[in-house]
Amino acid sequence: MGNMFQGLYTSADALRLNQVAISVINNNIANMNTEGYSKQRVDLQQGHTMPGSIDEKVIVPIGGVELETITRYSNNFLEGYLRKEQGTLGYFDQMATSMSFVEGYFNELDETGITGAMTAFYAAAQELSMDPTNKITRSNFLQRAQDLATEFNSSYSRLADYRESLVGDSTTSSLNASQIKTVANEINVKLKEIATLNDDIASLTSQQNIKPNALLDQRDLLINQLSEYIPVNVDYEGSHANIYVGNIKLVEAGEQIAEFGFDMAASTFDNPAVVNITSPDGSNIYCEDYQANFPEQSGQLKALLDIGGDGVNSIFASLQDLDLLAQEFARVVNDIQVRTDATPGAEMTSACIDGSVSPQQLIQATEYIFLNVQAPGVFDSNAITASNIQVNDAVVADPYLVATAYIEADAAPFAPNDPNAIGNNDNAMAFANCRDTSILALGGFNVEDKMASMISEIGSYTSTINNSQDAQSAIVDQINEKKQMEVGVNLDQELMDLVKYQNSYNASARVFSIVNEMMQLMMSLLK
Amino acid sequence: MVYARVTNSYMSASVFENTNANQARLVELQTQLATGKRVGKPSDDAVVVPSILNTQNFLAKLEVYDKNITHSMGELDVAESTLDSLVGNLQRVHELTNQASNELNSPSELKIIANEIDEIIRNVVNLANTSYNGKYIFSGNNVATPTYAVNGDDITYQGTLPTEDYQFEVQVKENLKVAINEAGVNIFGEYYQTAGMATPADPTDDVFYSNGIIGHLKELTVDLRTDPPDYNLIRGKLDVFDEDIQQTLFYQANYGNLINTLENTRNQLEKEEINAVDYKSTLEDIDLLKVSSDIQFQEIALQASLNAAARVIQPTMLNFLG
Repeated sequence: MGNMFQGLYTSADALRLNQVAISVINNNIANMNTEGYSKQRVDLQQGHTMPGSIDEKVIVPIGGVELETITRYSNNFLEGYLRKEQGTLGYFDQMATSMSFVEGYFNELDETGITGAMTAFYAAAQELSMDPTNKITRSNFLQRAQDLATEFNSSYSRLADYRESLVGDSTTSSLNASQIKTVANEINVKLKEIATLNDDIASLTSQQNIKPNALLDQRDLLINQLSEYIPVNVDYEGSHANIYVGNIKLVEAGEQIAEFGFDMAASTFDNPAVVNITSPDGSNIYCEDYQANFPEQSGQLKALLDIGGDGVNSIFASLQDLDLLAQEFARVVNDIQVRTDATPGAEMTSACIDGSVSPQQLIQATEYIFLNVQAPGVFDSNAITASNIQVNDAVVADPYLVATAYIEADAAPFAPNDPNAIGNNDNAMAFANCRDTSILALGGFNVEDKMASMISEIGSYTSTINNSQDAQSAIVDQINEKKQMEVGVNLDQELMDLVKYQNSYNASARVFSIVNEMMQLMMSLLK
Repeated sequence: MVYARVTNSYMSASVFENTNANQARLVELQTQLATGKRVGKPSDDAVVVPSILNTQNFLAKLEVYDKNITHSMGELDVAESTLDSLVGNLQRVHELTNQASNELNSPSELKIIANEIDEIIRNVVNLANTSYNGKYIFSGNNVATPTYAVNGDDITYQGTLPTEDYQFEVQVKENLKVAINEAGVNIFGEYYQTAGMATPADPTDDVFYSNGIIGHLKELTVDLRTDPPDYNLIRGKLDVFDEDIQQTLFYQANYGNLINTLENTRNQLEKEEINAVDYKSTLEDIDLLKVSSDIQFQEIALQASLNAAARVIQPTMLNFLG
């Protein structure tokens, strides 16, 4: 033993470092369930042997123990992999949520909704054909027609409202209340926080040579959360983490150099949310249209843009399908209502009843059944959409105006005693049978089959998305488990270490007390 | 062998995933069992969705056809019994004619018979003007107008003429429409002497127009009132009324046949309905036995996973450190 005081120092260092080790374990246990926490470990090293400790030919090890560092368990490769897969999961999570809503609006297997209303309409048309002169039957027919129109209206507005809640309707106020705006804000906030953290981490590391493990955990967690919104790439440069999306740099060192915003000038009803990436002051535009430039199915932002935009499986596509369906349905019914047929020798025409004369007589039908609610009095099937379809008020007011007869238009047509008289039901029959009319604009489907195929398509896309979500969720779970295996806290291990360092602490204390006793003995010799 | 480092959060996460997956599957099975449906929403099995909806539409059509048949049968029954009464009336006429053809009858006695025939004519016109559900059933498509108008001696048909579109068609099956009415003038005939009516006769001609049962009856009353009576002429009417009875029976049989046809059609519809319901059921309903046993199996799996989890999560070294 060189210097007796040296012995005291060695023990004191050991006591202190074991205490540090125990507090690291304490911290591990305290944070064992904290999201994003990485297990830390004390790395000790042998102290330097001091000059003067050389005793003749042998170097006596009296340097004691030193704290080398406190290591944070982390695996940058796994983090990157996790971020990538999490991005894909974020996409499918959002898609699955949205599609379950859309599917819910189209769930007509229980004979409700548009399908049910159509069935009721055609049944009412059959009843009309059985009793064409009965005013009640006619009113009933029109009531079912109005029910169907209302179903079209409400299906459309439910879908459109849901879409608005996701991406707005191209007005600033609705955009501000939309989910995509919230997501963009979240992204910007996180980018800003990462930049700030970069700064803090760099200054702690370079100036004071400290590893700010807690801040590193926090930054990893933020980047992870960010990857659920957009597919981020991270480039570690020294102690900085530079954040990219694609090849656009978003955060460089301590500075957020880009943020997500909306190009209101490019916003249309078809595609209400156009996301761009600009410098925070707006002077530089790095990406004009995020959706167009990032085709990869990754991140919640992309999912919102896909479902809210005007692409193939978007809500907009369903809205258009509904519009087309409503218009073609209305066209077929209106065309039957006012049809004429110039067969040589016998010109045929649809006819309704003039209820104001007695006895009632047939008159040529001119009023449409379905109109655009915004253009009452305009007889144009092309102006009808799912959102504006409505039964013509004039026909509702006088149900006799429904053309139930289809007769020869004589030179003196519709005379009171005309043998082609008011009981003729040929046109009512045509209303009832137009359910089987295949329509070119609907791809050769009739309206009911078109509806069924729409529902089926939505169902099949939803199920595809759900399967992708399940698979992706399994992948992310696996990576997360793998990550937890590497960086998580194992209580048994911590307890073992605790006992280890406790024993070491006890022993060092014992050594300290022995050295102390030795010193006292020496002091007593001096008396 | 190198073992993976099993950390606590890894363990609790995997325990949660496993039990959660078991629970989710259990809930799905329970929903199926509760609703009895395998396809509760389109994404459950998108491929069969169009078939389910088509079958639903088809069933709705069958329901409507069935209603149409019920409605038509009502009208046909009324028509048939009306013709039954008409035959009864004609048989009475035949009797009276037979009686009148006896040359012992004095002209005044014949007038009494003629008065009874007048009464019968009123009956026949009433029968011809039968309405069902607010529609005159023998008026062709001119349903709101009484089939015959009586004006003095004239009894004029006001319904749709047989040469025009008089048939009222009813859809009773996919691609099957049946006409359920007959133009009254074919059955009952007419009798008038006025110009300008819309008839097959030249409307500009002021002619005597007599036709069918009503015509024959009217002519008979004229013959009975002729003084001196021509008994041979009256006797000759016997054959005419025989023919009229035959013809009426023919129309009655037509209505009877139609009723039979509709009944057969209804039976066919019922069979089609059973088939369609059956088909729909195979598309969307659960196999009760299979789902029940799946549920039991799933319950066991869930219990086992919970049991295992309880054993794995609990112990740490803490339990054993003094």
